[in-house]
Amino acid sequence: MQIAFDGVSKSFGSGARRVIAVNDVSFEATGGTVFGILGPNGAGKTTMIRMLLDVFRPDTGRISTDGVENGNRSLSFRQRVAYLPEERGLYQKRKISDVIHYIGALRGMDREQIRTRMMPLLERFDLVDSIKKKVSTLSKGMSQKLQIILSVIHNPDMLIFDEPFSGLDPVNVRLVRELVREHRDRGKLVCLSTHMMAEVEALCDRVMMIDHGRRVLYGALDEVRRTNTDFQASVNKDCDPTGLPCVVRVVKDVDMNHVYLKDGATLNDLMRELAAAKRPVRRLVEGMRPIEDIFISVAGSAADRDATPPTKQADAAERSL
Amino acid sequence: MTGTIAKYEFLFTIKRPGYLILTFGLPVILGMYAGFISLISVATAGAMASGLSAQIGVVDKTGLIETAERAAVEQKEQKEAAEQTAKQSGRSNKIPQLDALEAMVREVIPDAQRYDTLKAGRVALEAGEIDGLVLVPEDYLQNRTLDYYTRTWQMFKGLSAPQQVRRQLYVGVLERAELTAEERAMIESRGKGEGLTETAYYELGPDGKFLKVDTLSRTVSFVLPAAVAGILIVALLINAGFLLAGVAEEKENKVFEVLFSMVRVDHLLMGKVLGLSAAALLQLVIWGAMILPLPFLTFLVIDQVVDFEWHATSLLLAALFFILGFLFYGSLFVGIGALGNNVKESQQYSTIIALLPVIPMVAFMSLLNSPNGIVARALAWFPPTSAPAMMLRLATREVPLWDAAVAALLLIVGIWISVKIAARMLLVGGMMRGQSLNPLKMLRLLLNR
Repeated sequence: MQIAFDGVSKSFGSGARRVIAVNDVSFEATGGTVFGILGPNGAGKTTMIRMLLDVFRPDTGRISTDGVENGNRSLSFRQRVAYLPEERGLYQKRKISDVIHYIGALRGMDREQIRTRMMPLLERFDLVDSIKKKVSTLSKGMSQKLQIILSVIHNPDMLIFDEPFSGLDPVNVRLVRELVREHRDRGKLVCLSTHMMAEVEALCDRVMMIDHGRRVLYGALDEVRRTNTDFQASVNKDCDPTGLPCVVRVVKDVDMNHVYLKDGATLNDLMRELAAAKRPVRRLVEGMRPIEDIFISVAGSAADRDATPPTKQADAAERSL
Repeated sequence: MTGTIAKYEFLFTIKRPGYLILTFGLPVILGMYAGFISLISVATAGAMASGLSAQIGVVDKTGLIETAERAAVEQKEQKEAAEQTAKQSGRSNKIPQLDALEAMVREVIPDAQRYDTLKAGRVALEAGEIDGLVLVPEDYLQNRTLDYYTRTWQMFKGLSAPQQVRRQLYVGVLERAELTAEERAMIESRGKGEGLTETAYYELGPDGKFLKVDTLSRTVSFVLPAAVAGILIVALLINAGFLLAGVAEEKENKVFEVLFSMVRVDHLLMGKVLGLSAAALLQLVIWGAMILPLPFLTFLVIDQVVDFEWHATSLLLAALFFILGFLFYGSLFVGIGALGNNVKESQQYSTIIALLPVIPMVAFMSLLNSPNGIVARALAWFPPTSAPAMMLRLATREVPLWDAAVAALLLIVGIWISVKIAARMLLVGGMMRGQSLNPLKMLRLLLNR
């Protein structure tokens, strides 16, 4: 499945109460990738997801699925999508099997299809013994797992997971991670909205960051990291390349030293000079800032912008690219 | 998709303990209640009806009413004299005996048109100058029976019209008849003529002749459909309440966001309403199966006395209005259910809508006595009160078919509007968290894009 936003905007309220939630956002995401949607709280991520799911309609711009404009408004699209919202809920008074059957039916499955899909998923998430229990009897972690089962019961072509790791223990985090990778490898599109930057780096192929409704970062993960990094290499903490001919300066970080090279110098030059100078190099990587640092710097500059007049915010957002 | 939602809503609802208790418990409670009310009604029918009066004429062949009026005038004069004496002697005006006298005088002051002959009275009745004509026959003192003539017999008016005449006769009998102390005590103990006089009712037949009315059959024919209408209204309100609670519970359980990603809001809304409508209809069928054998057996026993006929068209139309009413109120209840943060809050918001079907029940006397009057028609053609008003009007079996069709058409338009409004409420309310609403805020949210 392929989705595309083209100049999409959405605002709520009117007059002095008008709030622009999403402002002229464009992006594309295709099957076989994990697409990370990042941004600080209140940036407009959830509004964007809701527009994609046709819960809200955009004020301006186009949303296409598989090249079809407004394809997200069709029933067939809804039946091909999985959605796990950040604020999760379940029918507390109903039995687990009843809830699965209900959601499966709403996803267009018949009873036989539901039964066939349900059991392997329940086994995988260790919930088989609870199938006849009421949802209210489940622990928080088990409820989370049930919600994940419900979201993928219909073998969707696109998964939209909003903070899927919150509240999960490490074992279940790994389970979800595997589920995401498995769907990506089967050619599905996974949209992942999360604040857990380690998961973004571990899972996402492409990312988009929005802030104050505007797109501020967009592209392949490595590319985004590279273009937002001004040093060219990083070496292990106890290896100090200061004074080497190809090095302009070294910035010491918590666990790595970041190296700025002279114009025209390459990583090969650095490796050679480190070896020649017998510096204790055990790790040398291309200079790429962690996505967490990029997130914080962009979100931080957003916080600064909050103090500037609103009319200048758009320009400031453009500059941060 | 609507069908899938309706099916699951239906199945979830009929398994709810509250639904099961209500479905199987209510007929028992209602049966006991109806029995109790019937007993009281029979005992107090005359008193109940006294508040309803018609413009009547009287033909008195005995002179008893004249005697009563003369006594009233005398008592009035006595009262005025006693008041004058009390004033002069400086005592309080409030003398218990005087209050009793005043009450008696009020009761016998005549407001009926007098006619010397039955023929003259009938002419006035047929001309529409009066609503009813009471004949006190010459043999009244022997038989204690009045004849009451109307153009069309109406249950409550029929009961109330001779009421005043009965009291006048009571006073007249006490004043004029040569009674022993024991006889007088016996009459007085029966209380203001209630048990003293029987009434035979006549109405104008299609051939211009007056025919005797079988009041028991006519009362049963009137009360039973009205009771059915009442049960329908109760079922409608209770099941709409289930809808509201279900939606409020879904909001509390935070499932709307996922649901909205799967189905369109209007499909979700209609699915819920249709599912609950089916559950409500099933409930009615069960109630019918439980309640019907009782009156059916009763009819078998008293078949010789009561001539009752079910009116199939009215029943079918009542069922139609039940379903339309459920769609109207149900959709609004779904929308309102999503506005509160919990079941309790949603129930508070729903009070305004829950009062709408009660309005025709408050005005039920007017609807039953004048089913094609302005009030009845206005309530039946106004969608928020249409369904219960029509169910009550249909109980009289006097509503023209075109009238019911107009009401149904307007109600269908009302349903379309209510579904649109409710879908908006469901979407806005379903996505809203932790906000308490005032009417202005609610309106702003609903009007926002």
